[in-house]
Amino acid sequence: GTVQAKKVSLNYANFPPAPTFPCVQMERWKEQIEKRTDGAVQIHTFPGGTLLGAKDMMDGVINGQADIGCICMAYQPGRFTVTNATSLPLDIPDAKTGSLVLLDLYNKYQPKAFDKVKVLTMFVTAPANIMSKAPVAELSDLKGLDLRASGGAAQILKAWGANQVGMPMSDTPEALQKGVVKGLFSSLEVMKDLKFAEICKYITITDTVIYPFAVIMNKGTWDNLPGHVKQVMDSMIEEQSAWTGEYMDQHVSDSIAWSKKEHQVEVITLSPEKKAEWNAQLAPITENWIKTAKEKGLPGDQIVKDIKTLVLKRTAK
Amino acid sequence: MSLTLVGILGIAILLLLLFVFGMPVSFAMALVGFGGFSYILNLNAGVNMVSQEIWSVFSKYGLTVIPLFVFMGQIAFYSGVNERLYKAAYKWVGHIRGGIAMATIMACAAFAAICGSNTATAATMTTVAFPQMSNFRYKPMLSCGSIACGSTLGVVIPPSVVLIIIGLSTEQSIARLFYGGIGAGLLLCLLMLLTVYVVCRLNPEWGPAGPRANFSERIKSLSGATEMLILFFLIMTGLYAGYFTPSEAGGAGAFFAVVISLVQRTLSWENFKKATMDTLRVSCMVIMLIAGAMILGKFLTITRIPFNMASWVADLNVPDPVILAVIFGMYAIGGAIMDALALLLITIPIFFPVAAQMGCDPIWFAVLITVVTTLGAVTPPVGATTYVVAGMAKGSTLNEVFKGVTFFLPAYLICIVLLMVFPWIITFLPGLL
Amino acid sequence: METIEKISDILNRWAGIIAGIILGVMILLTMGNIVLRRVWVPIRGTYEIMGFAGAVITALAMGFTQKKREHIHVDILISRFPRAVKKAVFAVNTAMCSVFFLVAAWFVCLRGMTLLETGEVSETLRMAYYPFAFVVAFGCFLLAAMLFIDLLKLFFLKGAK
Ligand code: NA
Ligand code: NA
Repeated sequence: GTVQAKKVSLNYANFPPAPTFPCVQMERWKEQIEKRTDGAVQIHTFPGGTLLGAKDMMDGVINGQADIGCICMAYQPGRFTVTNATSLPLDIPDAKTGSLVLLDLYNKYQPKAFDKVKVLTMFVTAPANIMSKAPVAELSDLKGLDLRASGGAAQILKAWGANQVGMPMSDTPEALQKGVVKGLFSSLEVMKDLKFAEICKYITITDTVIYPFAVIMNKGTWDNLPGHVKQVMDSMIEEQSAWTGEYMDQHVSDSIAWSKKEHQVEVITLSPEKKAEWNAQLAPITENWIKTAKEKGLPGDQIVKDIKTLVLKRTAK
Repeated sequence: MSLTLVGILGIAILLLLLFVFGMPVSFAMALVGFGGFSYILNLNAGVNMVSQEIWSVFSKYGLTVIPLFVFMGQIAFYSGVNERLYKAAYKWVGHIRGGIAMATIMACAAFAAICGSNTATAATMTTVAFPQMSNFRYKPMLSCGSIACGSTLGVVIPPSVVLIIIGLSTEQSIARLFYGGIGAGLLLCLLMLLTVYVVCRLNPEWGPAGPRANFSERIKSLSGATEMLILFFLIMTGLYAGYFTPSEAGGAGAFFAVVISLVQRTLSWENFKKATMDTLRVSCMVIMLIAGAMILGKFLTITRIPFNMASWVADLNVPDPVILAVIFGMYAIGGAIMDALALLLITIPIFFPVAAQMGCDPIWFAVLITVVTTLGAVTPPVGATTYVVAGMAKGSTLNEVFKGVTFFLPAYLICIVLLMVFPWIITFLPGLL
Repeated sequence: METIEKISDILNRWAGIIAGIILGVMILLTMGNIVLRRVWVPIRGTYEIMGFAGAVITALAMGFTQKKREHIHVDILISRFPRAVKKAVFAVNTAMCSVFFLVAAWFVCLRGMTLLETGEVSETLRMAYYPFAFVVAFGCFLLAAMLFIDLLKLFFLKGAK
């Protein structure tokens, strides 16, 4: 048959709103794939959870509700134990490094959690930092402070003495405005994107935790793709990972610059001594994770060690 | 068969199931959504989609305001708070034709200031207002129409789940959007009051005027309104002083309602049980309506009709005002066949850049779209608010509710036109920020 | 027939009692969180628990909500049909919906199994939450059963509807 006759049409579901970075990378990937396969593949994108919500994504792709989906692994703790290790407090400096480390880790361990899907790329958010209404420069400033954060950051905030408040992002702007929470703990692009700079005048750079994402494809769909399309997609796995990490990092530094300029937001950086003091509080979290991983029959020590080595390797480049 | 055709056929089957077969609305939406989704993809995808939607709608944190606010309304009902409130209102406005309907619309607007969802507003306000309006021999058509339309103010007047969704998906300041909603909400409320006035001028027996109470009777009646005023005051204060979020307001409201009725000793154990059971049934009915609408929405999403329509409009080569009119028309039609939030999530990313290119103020555009989509919440076949009111108002038929709603449609249209001609109604308050 | 009805009545009664208690707990939890957050620390995982509790009360209410015919339907045309046609249409509707919710119950149940097998836990409290999915499956099953009883009544009880 001719290439034209075999035009493949794929549905790509994503859960956050269209302007966010997981959707930006989705549109970029779509464009590149359509171009590089000379139009043999057509991709329909569904942002904003219109086809699959965050927690439905993995099973939705396995069951064929969408051909491709983007998952945030931190939303399903327990399910992606190996890859979720990247969100331990292991000093991943930026999204690009984190994305490539995550991909390396996946390639090395080939976790069982992904047996039923084909991985098209992986990437991570930029590291989480503290955005607050009052300045946070010491651990004592954090004591008892109510910060909005996803469940994944609960242990970290607890270790620092702050209170993690879990609430949907949709409730957060109002909760901040009215003072129900006093700040949030997440990557900094939200300062500009969700206009939190209007309310939170202080940023404390902790660069602690990142959240891993994966783009996955239904196995049956993958098996039925023509060989040259598979080749194009395979060749884009690492490239897309690096591109997304770079985009994320740039987006965050733009957001910080904008917040400083438009809303006079002050950025607080911790001295190396202080940073060491803050990090010391977090050590038990990694130890705990290693213990749980071992209970599940996974080489917890080795995974943590690998991540640290991979970070060094990827930052050296 | 093209996907668009499948979508249109699906809607046709939905109409058939609803209006000819008389199938319960939530079940019909779920069945059509399931059938269509399975037809386009496969059976396995269809059943998994249904089970996922049921689980995720049922366990959605944001929807817990529904049982909690409904419970607040039921407690107020069974302890006689609503009755005393309406008796007081009757002394003040009962002598005006349709006066109680107007008071109800204003009560909806007040409730909208503490509740961010249409359906929760409708479910609560039907409990509060409908039995009382029947007591004063108001026609179900008028009372249900007033409650259904008044409830749509729930998402126009802040807090508002729709404005939050728009804010998050367009990266606009939610505070500004909320300020923008105030002007539009008040205008819409005013036009609805005017509608009641005109309708009751033409049909005096729909909202019969009662005897005029003298001044001392009125002052005396006020004591009947105190419980509700205290309840409202507590929630407003908690909300605006930052003690709780709008999602928590329902729980706080229910708690305060129970406390007030305990202090007043107006609630028997028997009535407390009744209030609880009624709450469970009403919330289940409402949440299943939402689940049905979501399942249907997944089907329409996979047909890509909303995407295609939006891209078609965005590419139209006509003057800007025409594009705007077509966009609003599309939302009005789309809102009729699809859940408003699902529709917004799909179309906003396409329309927002178009509006920006035309030089529209983003806040103005977002608020105006909210008003247009609230229209969708009351129009058949997918009009959650109307179904909630009709399902709860015993002694009224859905037919009557839809008829009642029809009288208010001009109010929406006039509101939209006024907002287009005088954009400052929306943009004035956000400009002060 | 009577035995089936008796069983369903008992099930629905208990479902109602449990759901009612959980509703009370939801109110107290919300209020408790509001107060404790102010004076001490927020209750961990409130947002998660509220979501799960909401799922449970809706699910448990599915049976008796159907029993009381709470779900709104449009009777503009159907009310004008002759008796026999009405009965036939009602039977078809009820049978379709009953099967639909039976299938839904099964697949929600499978969803619970997936949660169990993959070891997924909630975000904040890190607790296994598959049991809640089973409760929702049970709710769908109750609804399917109530619809099925309606269908049986249509054929076996003379003069019903
Ligand atoms: Na509102
Ligand atoms: Na509608």
